[in-house]
Amino acid sequence: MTAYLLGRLGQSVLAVGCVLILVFFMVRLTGDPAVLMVSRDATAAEVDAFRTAMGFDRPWAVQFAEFLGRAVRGDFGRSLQYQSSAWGLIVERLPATLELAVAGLLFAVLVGVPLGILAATRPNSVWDALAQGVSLLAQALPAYWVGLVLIIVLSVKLGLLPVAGRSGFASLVMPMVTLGLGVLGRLTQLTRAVMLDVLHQDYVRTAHSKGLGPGAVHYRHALGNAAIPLVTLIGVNFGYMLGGAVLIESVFSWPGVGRLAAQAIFQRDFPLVQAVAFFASLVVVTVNLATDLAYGLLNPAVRRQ
Amino acid sequence: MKRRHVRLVVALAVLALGGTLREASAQPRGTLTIGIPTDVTTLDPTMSPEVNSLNVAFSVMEPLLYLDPAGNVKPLLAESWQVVNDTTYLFKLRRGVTFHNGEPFTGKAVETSWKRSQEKQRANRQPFGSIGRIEHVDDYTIRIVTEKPDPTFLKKMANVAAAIFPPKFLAEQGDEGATQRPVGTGPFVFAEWVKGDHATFKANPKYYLPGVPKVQTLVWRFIPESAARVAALQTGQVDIALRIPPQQVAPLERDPNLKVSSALSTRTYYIAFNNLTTGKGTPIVDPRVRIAMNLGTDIQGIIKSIYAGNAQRVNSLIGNVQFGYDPTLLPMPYDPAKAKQLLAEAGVPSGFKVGLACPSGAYTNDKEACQAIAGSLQQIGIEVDVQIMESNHFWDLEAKKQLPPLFFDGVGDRYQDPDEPMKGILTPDSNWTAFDKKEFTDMIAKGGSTVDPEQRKKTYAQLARAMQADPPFIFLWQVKNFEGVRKRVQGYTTRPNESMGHLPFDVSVTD
Repeated sequence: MTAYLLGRLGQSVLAVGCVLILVFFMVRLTGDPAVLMVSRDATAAEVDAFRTAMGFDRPWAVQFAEFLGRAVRGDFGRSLQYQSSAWGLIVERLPATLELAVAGLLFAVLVGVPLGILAATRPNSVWDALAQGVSLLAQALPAYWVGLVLIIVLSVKLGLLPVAGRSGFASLVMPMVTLGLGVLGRLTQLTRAVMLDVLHQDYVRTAHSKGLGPGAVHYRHALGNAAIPLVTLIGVNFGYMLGGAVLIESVFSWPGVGRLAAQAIFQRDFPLVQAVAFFASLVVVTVNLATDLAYGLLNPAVRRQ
Repeated sequence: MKRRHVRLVVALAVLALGGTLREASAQPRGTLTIGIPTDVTTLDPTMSPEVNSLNVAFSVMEPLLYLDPAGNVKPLLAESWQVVNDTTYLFKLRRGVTFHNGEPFTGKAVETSWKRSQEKQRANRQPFGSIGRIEHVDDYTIRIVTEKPDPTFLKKMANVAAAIFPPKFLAEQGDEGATQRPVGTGPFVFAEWVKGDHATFKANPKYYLPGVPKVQTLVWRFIPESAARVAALQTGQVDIALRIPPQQVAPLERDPNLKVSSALSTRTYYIAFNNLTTGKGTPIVDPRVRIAMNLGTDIQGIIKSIYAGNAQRVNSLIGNVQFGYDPTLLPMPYDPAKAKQLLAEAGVPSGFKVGLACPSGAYTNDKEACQAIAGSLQQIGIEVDVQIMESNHFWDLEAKKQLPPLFFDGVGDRYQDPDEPMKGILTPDSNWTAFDKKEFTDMIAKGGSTVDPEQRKKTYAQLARAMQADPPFIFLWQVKNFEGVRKRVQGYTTRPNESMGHLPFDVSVTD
């Protein structure tokens, strides 16, 4: 297990390193930040002066060496727009992103999994049809549209929830539902499929014949064995949600990392783009590692490898 | 009524009246929330040329002068001033003003702020390019000498990019302090900034003008998505919503709790002709071809179909709301027959093919406008190849003069004066210029080299006519800018240049 973990850690470090190199060079290939950041009435001479003052005219190798030297110390430099620590800006927005991602995931899991189990335990019934219908709709409806419709109905028409910003649970409801909807749909479908498989196993029949109630049979015994594919789905999507759900954050003006990243990219804020790329790759790699560990916990066979 | 009762009633009446009078003596009350369309990245006015960030900074910081709704320059931190000659100004500064951190406001603060604003890495150093030197006559009197005559100098000094910072604060907290926790002399004091969400300011109890500001708390909410911004206005989460797309105005006009406010934006749109690089050797070098393209574009029709009539034609690149605009010069007419005739004279009777670059999402309906213009030109035989690009990439190529011979863009201006925008798009040393003609460069220089308004008006009228005779652009339009305001807000007006400097002086809320 230790060897396995160490191997996975090594792979992760390599992955993050490659992402950083790619991002550094690709960002500079798309254009000149000086022109973009200076007022549009500036003369060519003033743009040149700005470029020199900011160090954009130095050879890329020099800029990269400096970048790497500071990155290993956790210093990604100052955001060109905000004039404060790039990494600090991400850390500032992290609670908002975490809140939304966790809430969205919990919503998807707490609604999607029981719905899938319901469908699997009553196959071909009206519940099954309902669950499959919900699952399809949840995956098919575009998040942007769902978000705006929710705003129109719940905020403008009914006046129940605030439209924009982050200010307590009421402001979390709509973004959470919109973000979690897609995952909910996929989770319902997957849970149903996996449970159908498991429910026909001998040990489930044994559990029933022992006199255990459906709760214990389905949740404690069956679900445990069905869990691995579900954990994979949850892990992958959680990593994605944490990386920053730009669309949801834009529609609801949620102050998370996603919007920060989009802004940094459009404004060619190099230090911030690099910091965000590092953050996103770190998140994905960590969540994948955690998912692998979860397998070990759920399935002893994996541990023994 | 018994006499005792009469006395009681009179006493109560007097108390009630006194109470009302005290209320009317303008204590700041209530909270005003404004929904803005961009994510503010800095509260330091020297580092952000974007108008919304500048407006937020305006809550806290002040320049020496102030522009009233009619565009006249009024005193603010400068009590009075004297234009000594074409290049010299004498300012008498207001006494007894302190910054929010207790530092005194003096001529020294003015000099420190301006020296800082002129540093090479300041994105917004443009307004100070013309200052040559500052002389201190005494603590509260300064003399400013500009390098050459600058007709917009006073207007520049009324822009928040010329705001005054406290010197000790700058020395101790530097750029980071100025960006994150600004301190100024303004009617509001900085309270908090939750990035990506909102910024809050509280009324300054020690502000030097009585009755200002009129609201106790000012909140700026960042809502980039326009549908969400409109929804927030409808639910009352914001009291004022800026930059409402024209298609979303109708339901707001029907809402009894809202009023829609609009003003013609100072941003003027055009199709630029390139005679410097990619346009060389193509038919557009001939002025007759360019006149033909102006006559062959059905601009009024496009305004009706794409902008639902919410735009106004311009007769040249000097816009309707700018100083020096000549209303006696009519916009070039729509005359496709004459256009075809001119093309024949120029040797291209059956038209020609030309590329037109267009930014995507930078301006309202930019793509649609480009395609409509191409459609119009098609009717006179010109085959326009519309190339739509992501806006930052587009501006990058524009600055490098690598765009096709035609491109669509807009030029804004902060001071409602043609000097800066004309220099920015029609003189050879600007990045954004694609057309060079000495006659234009000379006239623009002439307009900018004197402070005499009558002389300048004459020069700009001449320039407008010269531009129609040998067009460097297809002259398009200025678009109406819509804003939504809830009924509880009093005294708010939309400014053509989107400036909100008047907010603390004019705007109050009922309830």
